[in-house]
Amino acid sequence: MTASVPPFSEIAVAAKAWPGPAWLTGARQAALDRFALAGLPTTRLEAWRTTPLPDFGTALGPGAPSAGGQGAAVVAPFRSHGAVTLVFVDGFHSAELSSPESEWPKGVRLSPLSRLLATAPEEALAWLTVDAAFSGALHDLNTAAFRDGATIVVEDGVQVPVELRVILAATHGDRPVAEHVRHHVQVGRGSSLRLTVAVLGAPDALGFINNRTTVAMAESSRLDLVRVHESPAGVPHFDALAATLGAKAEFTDTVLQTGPSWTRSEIEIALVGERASADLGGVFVARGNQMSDIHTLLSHQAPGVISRQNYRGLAADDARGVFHGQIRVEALARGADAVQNNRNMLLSKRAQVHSTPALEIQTDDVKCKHGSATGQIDQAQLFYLRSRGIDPKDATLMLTRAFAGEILSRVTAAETRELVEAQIAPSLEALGVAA
Amino acid sequence: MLRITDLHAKAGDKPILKGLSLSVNGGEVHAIMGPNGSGKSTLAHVLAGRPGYTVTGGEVLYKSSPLFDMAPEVRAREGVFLAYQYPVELPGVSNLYFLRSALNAIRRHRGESEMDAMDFLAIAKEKARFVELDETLVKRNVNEGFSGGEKKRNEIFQMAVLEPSLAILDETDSGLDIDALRIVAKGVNRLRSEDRAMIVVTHYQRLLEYIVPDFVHVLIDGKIALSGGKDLALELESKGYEWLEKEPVQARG
Amino acid sequence: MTEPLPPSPSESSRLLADLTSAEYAAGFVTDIASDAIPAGLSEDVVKLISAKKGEPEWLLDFRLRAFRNWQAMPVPEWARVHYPPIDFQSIVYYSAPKQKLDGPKSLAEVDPKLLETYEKLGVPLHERAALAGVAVDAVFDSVSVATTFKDKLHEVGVIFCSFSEAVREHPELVKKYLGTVVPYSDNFYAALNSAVFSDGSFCYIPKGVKCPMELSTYFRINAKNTGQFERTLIIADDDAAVSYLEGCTAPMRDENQLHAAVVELVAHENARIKYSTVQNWYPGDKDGKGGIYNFVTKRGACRGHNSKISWTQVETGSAITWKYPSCILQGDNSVGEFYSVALANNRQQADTGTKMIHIGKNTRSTIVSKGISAGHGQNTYRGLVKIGKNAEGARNYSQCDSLLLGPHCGAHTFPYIDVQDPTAQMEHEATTSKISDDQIFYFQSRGLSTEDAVSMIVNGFCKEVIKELPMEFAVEAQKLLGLSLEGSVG
Repeated sequence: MTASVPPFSEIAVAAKAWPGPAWLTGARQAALDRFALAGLPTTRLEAWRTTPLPDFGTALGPGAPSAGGQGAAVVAPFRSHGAVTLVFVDGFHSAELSSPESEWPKGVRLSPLSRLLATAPEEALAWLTVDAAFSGALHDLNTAAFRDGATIVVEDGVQVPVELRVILAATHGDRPVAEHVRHHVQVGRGSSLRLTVAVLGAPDALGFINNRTTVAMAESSRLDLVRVHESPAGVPHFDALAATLGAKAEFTDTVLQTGPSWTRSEIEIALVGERASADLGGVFVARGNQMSDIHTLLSHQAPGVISRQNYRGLAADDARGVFHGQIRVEALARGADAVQNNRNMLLSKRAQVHSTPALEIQTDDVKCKHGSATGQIDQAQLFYLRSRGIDPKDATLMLTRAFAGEILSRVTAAETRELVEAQIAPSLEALGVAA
Repeated sequence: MLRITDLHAKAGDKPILKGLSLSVNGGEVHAIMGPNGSGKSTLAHVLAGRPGYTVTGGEVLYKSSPLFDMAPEVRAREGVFLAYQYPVELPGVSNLYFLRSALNAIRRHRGESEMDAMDFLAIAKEKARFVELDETLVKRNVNEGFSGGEKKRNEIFQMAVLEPSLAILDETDSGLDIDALRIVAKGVNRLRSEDRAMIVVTHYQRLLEYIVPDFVHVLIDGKIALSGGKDLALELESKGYEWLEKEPVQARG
Repeated sequence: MTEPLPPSPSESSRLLADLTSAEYAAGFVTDIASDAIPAGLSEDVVKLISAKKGEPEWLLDFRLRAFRNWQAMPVPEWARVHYPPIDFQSIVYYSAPKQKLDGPKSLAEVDPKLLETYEKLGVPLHERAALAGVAVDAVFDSVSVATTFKDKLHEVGVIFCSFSEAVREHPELVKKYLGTVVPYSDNFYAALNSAVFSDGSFCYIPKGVKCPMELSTYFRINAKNTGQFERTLIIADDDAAVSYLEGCTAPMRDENQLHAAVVELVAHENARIKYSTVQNWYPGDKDGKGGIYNFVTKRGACRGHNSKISWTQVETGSAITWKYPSCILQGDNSVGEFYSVALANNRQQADTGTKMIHIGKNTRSTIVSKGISAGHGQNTYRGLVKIGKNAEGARNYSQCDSLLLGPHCGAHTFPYIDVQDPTAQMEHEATTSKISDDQIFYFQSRGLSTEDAVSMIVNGFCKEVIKELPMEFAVEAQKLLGLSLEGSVG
């Protein structure tokens, strides 16, 4: 793959006309040059060994703002009186579907990135340019072609009382479009925030979502993040989250990856402040020809930091699931405590799971362990349920629901919990179980 | 209710049951005793339809229908209940949800209407008191983190809710202290009725002091070596099983 | 309430004060005239090696195909090991102690200096002095100098001899199996070995024979600037069983030397092969100068039903160890095992592990890997468990534990797990631990020295693996672990 492929040059040409400060145009051009050099990742790269990219067709070109349309229906279940929503349709902010600004909580500077770049671009300069944690072609593509996203800045000492929701909706247009979206979340000293990010779409939507979030957490801040990845079959979804945790910052993330599309989530957490802690969990439910991939990298860089990871996967039909979890403990991270757990359930003869729980440790003063187990549904449990009169199909659903349920139970806010339970239910019910 | 004729069965590749015959009528309690490895648990598992066991000969009629034609869940819906020696844990599956699903599967099978959550909760509470099962355990995940005694009581609690026609208790006394044993036995005794038969599988006579059987059968090497009344259990308690293993004795009683 | 943060490294390292480093006991040089060819590698060198050994045409063909393949291969860089590029033209690919043209006919003809060398290494070759019940093939630089107990083994039909002899005496067997488990195109160093291998051990256990004694090969690198490229081929026919041991040492030299061996095992129906290694190549000095690059391809094929291959390795030596003894579980119900202790002290680097490829039904594998890192050592476990589409009922259990001694070393675990069958069950667990001050103090308060404490803790850590070794080796391995760690913990 080279830059001569039309959609990329299309990006290059289009980007010239996009408004923005010179430093951004420069950064876009540099990213595009790197992308042209590297091309799209292939399975020859170690990080992509088990995850072939889908055929994007012509779906790499950026779209244009559209009028609501299907967006309203897609977003509907996620709109709520209890939460403040920021909605993006086909990669562009939709004021119409978002909560009115009058409802935005105090102490939080909330802005669509497009607006920020038009009004106060210097505020984005810091994190748009130092954001070097990511590398790779799809990250460069995002930098080259993003148009919008959410910027959320919680000032120091603010406990945000409402949940914020950022919702991406892909709709069906006259041609497939790529949505390169960029979010930035900053949580001030001693502040706390609950945030849900959902990637959704109309069933007949076509395109590609390249969603990228950076999180910066100041000392003693707290962020509870819940992410729902359910993009439609025709919209492959690449997702990247990079968080930097200051001293005593507490970060939780729960990702539910149920979308029928090709989905890959990269989660990169840097614990840079003393005693920072990250508690991560997620579950993928993969069926049909789906490919569901979760890659994590937890980098322990300061004394006394703690990390927990609990990831699970269900793979049915011809689906393929990937978990690659890397724990890195640097020499400075004395007393680091890292635990990682991965469990996968295979529900058909043709489903596959690749699990790579990796440890890289550079000091002796650590507590570190990981476990990984893959197998079929527990036959003794299944029989127990049947011997009480429950038919095999219901018994299986009961057990897969319980398996995924342990991840859902991480979501403690009642309304959000109900939302994610409702969201995952159809995927679990649709899991084909074959002998 | 249950007629077993010349039953042969293997656990894995190993022949365990070698021509077992037994008849059980409604209202009767039959105790199956015998030394380790004689096939007591195999009999219980074969009747419940557990995978890993193969029936190689003989016939079992349950309510006049061939039992082995029924899938495990169909047997359960027809009223066969196995109280396990080692009940499995079901992390993430709540006891109430599980049991209501089971009860409703049975009710649907009988053409009865399903029970809603509120009505069911009332019944569950009543039955939990019945076996002195702590209400908090009723609400927890099935057997998850339960002690040995709590698991056994949970089995009897399920039996009380599902009201089977034929209950098979597989070594329900194993691992129980005397207080727990008494509670479990009390629960079982309250479930004895004219239209319900029970097969109590046990290694020791102890349980039979509390659940007094109508008949006692001694299983030796996959066959019933001796049958008798409740006194036979006492005889076995004093004499052990060895004398029966040496020479087959004709059935008495 | 928060717990106090752990002490800074300076405090803990006070405990890890330097003691005098233990001398590498096998580091002497044998002064013996050798017949070596000039350094460098070309088709002519490959032909020359083949000619020196008087090989048949088909073997030369095999070598040349391997050589051409190797030339086109890139140098692999994926392992977590760092070393300057190897100049393959500066290596001597053949060096043999000077002796009678077609090798010694019996021990009496072997140069006494060689016998003395092995005596000094604790491997006496005179049968009456030899370890009871262990037959030894002694490989010195590029050639096998002696094989003991050959006649006794011959009585039961076991063939145990040098690779060169096998090519002469049993060409049909060599031809049938050579390169069938590790094809010459497998990887860079396997290709290089296939082109230039000079000698090694061959062993064939016929149908139904349980080999009456342990078979063993002792590898010794002596000459300077020489690479050692030996090849081992072990075949256990139906219902046969064999236990095979391998030991290795080299002199202390400032230059790095390359050891690139290939080991192929074939187990037919119901056959059992147990392969044990105690690897003590010169590890280099405290600052990482010198030492052996141990880049080895070891693989076993469980071809028959119910066959079993078990690898046990204790890796204390080498500057760099890079190897993955693996099992291809083709036969139904076949079993693969991998037990490993790898130690990386000073500047040593180890990237080792295994591959368990489950193909047949109900195949089972067990992996127990214990990594010990000390000084600036870097220890990596890298493994693959692959359960194929038709491997119904396959089971794997893996356990990878790391012990870190000191704040400057590293322990890394990269288990790759690919499962393609729903009835398979695989479980992987890994932990990392250190020796705590409390533990050391406990030993001290009972009157034991710090060194005793460390050695006891390390031996406890490795117990599961050591117990898999044959008795004579287990004692040796324990001693070696203690010696290799001396000076790393104070």
